[in-house]
Amino acid sequence: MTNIMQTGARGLLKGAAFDAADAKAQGIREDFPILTASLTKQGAPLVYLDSAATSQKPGAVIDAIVDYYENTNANVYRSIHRLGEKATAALESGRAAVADYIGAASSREIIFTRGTTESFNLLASSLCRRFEAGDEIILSEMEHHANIVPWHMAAKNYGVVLKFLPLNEAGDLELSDLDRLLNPRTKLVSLTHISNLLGTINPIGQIAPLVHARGALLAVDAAQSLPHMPIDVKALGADFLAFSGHKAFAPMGIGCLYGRQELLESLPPWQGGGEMISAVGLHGFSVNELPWKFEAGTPNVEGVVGLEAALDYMRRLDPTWIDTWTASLAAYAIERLEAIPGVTVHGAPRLRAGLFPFTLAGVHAHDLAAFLDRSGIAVRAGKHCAHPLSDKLELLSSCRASFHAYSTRADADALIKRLTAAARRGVIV
Amino acid sequence: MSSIESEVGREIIYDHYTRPRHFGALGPDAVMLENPSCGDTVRLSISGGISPDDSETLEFRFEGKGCSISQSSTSMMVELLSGKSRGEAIRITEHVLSVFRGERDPHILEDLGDISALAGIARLPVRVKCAALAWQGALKLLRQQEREHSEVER
Repeated sequence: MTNIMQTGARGLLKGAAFDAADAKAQGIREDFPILTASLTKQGAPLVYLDSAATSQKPGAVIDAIVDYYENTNANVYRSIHRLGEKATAALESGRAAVADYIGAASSREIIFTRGTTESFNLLASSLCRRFEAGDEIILSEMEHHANIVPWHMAAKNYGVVLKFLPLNEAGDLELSDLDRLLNPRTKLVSLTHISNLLGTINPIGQIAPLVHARGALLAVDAAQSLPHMPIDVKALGADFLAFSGHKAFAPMGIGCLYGRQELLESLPPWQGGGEMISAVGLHGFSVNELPWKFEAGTPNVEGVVGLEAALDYMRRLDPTWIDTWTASLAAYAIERLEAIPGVTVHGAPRLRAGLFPFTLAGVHAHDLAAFLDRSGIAVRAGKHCAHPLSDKLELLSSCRASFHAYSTRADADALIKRLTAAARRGVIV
Repeated sequence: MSSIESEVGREIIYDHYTRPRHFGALGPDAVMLENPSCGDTVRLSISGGISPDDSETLEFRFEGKGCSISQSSTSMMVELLSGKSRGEAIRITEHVLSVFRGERDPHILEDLGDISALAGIARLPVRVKCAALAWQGALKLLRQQEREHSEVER
């Protein structure tokens, strides 16, 4: 079987390079008010290992939002006064910033949504209207619900057929399986860039030519990758790409759907009302041009302002560094956690981002998460909005630790120390 | 009062978790309850309670897989409700659920035995679903039974 190999696999930091990165991360913590506050009863700082669920917000983003409300707030496009013009300019400045950040050809290719889930709902509702019953969409078994359920709904509404790329035991996709599933009826392949449960990094850049060679489109779920590594839609070969702002230092409720302009132009609008209209009569309406065609209602301008500040902040940190550091920290933690009797870290993908699932024998993940929380350690527990993958791994439920730029060796050590104590205690309540 | 945040409360929860009461030997009509967010499951069977005047007592049994809160809460429930009439079981269940939801004073659980160990669960919103799983399932089953019997009477 041919494996899908990742090109340019990054090296992990060790020794003095690890120490230097740790020092940089400690400095980054200072930018985040919540991480410098003492939240636990003991007055210990928060050990936040749940960044894959949502990242914490730096002062730069919080300040940008406060500044927007103090100096700019107005409705966009329709308010013909100076604040309205300022708010409209802020919205479009954010759109241009996103386009620039992900390497889009034009800001017309950036549709603001509430997040990854809404982006996929938009795409599935609009794109599948062009498909015929029996047309096929390929997903993978490692997708999270945002990239499964909208397609299930489309399958029901339009008769399209869903097929799923399996995982191997390590938690990687196999190229031969993609080759086997692709056929003339395949219209779309929609894959996650990074698994939110296993941390597997999928080699999208290598998958894209295979998909395009068979005449299909490629959609990428960048919910976990955009916050941690450089994203270039052209290098990836993505026809569509979805992400949420809140995992990348921005506020909740703002996200994007990127689509190639010619594709977006060919798709029907999704929701009606607001700026998606160019003219309305009693007997019909005409649709506005891109990108507003897909943006019904008053947009989340505050979110866009926060997103622009967040992308600016992330660029200053250097996304390549974030990827290397968080992956190195995960590798550091995994090596030590696996040495604790009863602790299992699940999956061993070829290239893993800064997140991983773990369990402790005989202890339910919720109980373990509650135990860790009592020492101020925040991890995610449950099925991680990835039920098919969780079931495949036979994990009734698991804990997940996930890192971001502000995570430090002290955070990893706190987890290791508490899990060692948990393993000694056996059953935990 | 024992509470989930106290050592005594934790001991009670631990005891029910490791030594669940009325466990196994389910009746043929056992119903599966599931918390989809974590995958915790409880299979619950209720027997008795069929006399129209509600004088007959109920017997509960369960099996399950899940966290200490969901499984101990179920064990406390079957222990508490077994031997009660249907009407009484419904009344107690409504009481307990209202405390879990934070709608009523947790002190009303004090006379109900071990379940008072979960009185503070309303302060841990993410665990309420775990604690309430079996109780919500039982309430649904008991109300359904009540409807069926009142239809027979008519």
